[in-house]
Amino acid sequence: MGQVIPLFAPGSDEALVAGLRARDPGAQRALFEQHGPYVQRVLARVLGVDAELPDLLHDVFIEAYEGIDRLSDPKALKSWLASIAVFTARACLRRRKRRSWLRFVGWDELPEPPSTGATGEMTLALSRVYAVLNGMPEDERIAFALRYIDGMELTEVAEACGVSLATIKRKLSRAQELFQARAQREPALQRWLGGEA
Amino acid sequence: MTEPTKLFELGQIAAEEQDRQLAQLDTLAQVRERLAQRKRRRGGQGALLVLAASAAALALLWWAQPGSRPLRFEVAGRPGASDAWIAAPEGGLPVRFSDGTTLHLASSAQARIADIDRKGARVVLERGRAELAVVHRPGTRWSVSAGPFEVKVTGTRFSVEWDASQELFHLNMVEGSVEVSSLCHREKRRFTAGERVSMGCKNTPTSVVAPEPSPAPTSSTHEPPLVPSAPTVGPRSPLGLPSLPAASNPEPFKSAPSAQPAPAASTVSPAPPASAEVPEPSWKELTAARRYREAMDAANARGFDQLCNTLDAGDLSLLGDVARFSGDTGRARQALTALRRRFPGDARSAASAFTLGRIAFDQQHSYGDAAGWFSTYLNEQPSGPFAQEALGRLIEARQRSGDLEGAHHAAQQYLLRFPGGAHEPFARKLTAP
Repeated sequence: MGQVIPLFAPGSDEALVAGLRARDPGAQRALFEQHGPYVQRVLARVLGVDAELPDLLHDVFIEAYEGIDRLSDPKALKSWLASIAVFTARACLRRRKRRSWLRFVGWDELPEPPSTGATGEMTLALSRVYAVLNGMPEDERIAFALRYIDGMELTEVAEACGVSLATIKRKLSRAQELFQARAQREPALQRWLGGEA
Repeated sequence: MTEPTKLFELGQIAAEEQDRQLAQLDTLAQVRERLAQRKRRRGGQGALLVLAASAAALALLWWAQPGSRPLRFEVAGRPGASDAWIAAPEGGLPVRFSDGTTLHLASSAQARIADIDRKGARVVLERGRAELAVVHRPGTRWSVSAGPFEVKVTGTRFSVEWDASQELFHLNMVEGSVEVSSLCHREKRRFTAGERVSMGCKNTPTSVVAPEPSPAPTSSTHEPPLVPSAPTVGPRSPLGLPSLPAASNPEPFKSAPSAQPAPAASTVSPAPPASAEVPEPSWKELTAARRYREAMDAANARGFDQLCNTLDAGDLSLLGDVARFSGDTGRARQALTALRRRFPGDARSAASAFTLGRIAFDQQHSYGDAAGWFSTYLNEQPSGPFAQEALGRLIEARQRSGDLEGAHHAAQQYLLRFPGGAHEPFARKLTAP
């Protein structure tokens, strides 16, 4: 007969945080179940669907489990997790940049091959979006991905990035310019960007 | 700050596609399991340390056993490194392994030694000719990869050549036997001493020259040929294959006229039914639903080989995409090479050369092959939709395979054709005086 694992039913973020602070394994499982998909999405928005995604997602939750005492406002649990995810993704981008002399063009930076049907076009468009993002500075890339791909509100982007709203607006403005300039060289994106790109 | 609506629209499309891809991964399940294991690891750290120490001690004992160490090799008398490219200068280059096996690369040949262990190694021949004399021991495991062809070796002497520009594979057996398989042919085929073979993936018929009649060791006599044989140009050999008087010259085979794959010889397995007789396969329905892994399972259940031989060009291209999206690189290559073999001249066939180049570059790190495929694409579609990327990748592939002159030439072409392109900085760097 298998081991019976009691379910943790926090009811609210405050209760969940209290359980995490008590190092309750049930609370840790509940955190992952409740917020795992969201954190995965934030990482994927910033980095693209990437082979390192499982490792990074794992790192975010380990950091959350161990750093839960640093969370001052339990109601801000979700945005706190987003900020850890952004921090982790940024570190990953910087690490890759440092190692980029080993390989100047990565797998994920390269275009998808031709494909038939709408799915192929979307796959190609997605890969070219990330090819463009790969050429941008990390902060601008992150801001762009969270705002335009994930659709976060400006305040959410600012919180996730740990900067002020004014700063994130400046970053986004710059990101927008960079993206549009680079996207003009991407035929696969013209269908969607048209004259504006 | 004014935010263009079209950026949000593009972002939404990207997000939808990304969510679809994420839904096909089992990342959450993997991480859930790893997070649970982390707790168990913490609880058993002491036991793990003991286990690790024991494993280290065992490994040390194993390492000290004669014959248990990975093979080593020397290139022209200097220690060689696995996976490093070896380019033979004029006059060739000898490579000697610690088990006595020797490899001689002919002038201009390029190869790397991959997957080396105590049982053998895999020689990846990028281009040119290589002669091998493999010392046979129990459990030896040697192979040579040349383009899409794979030669499995026991103890034997032979030479193998990969003509990347013509996509032709040549084998000349001296002693022993080898087994040849390829991504573009269905059957494996064993070749024995005295046999010579030339084959390609396109419409090039296979040609086999039998050994001299007197020794005639023919374990392969009753085996079907790897691919249908060439139209007969001479009397049948004892192997039932056309005997060619000028076997060492591959020219007659290269120029063999054939708009379609050559007709099957009598010993070849019956051809699968024509596509018109195949009912609508469920893999397409699953593909339409974007359930690629399930689509791939369905394609395999239906008979992937058969699909490769019966589907039309559009569906074959789609099958290649399904295999690629489901992460099955081998099947993707099989479908795409089938597309090229069966539908030469079709635009999708040209595009598949680009995809094959990407697979060779990114997943197999076989840069010589990749360069060949990108060149093929550019030759077939000089102004095709992927020309810019293909030329940029050609620079990279040639540079990484050690063909610096070729890389320089491609870089010059790139700068002329695509100034401001993504590879411009690299092209400039390569062409800088």
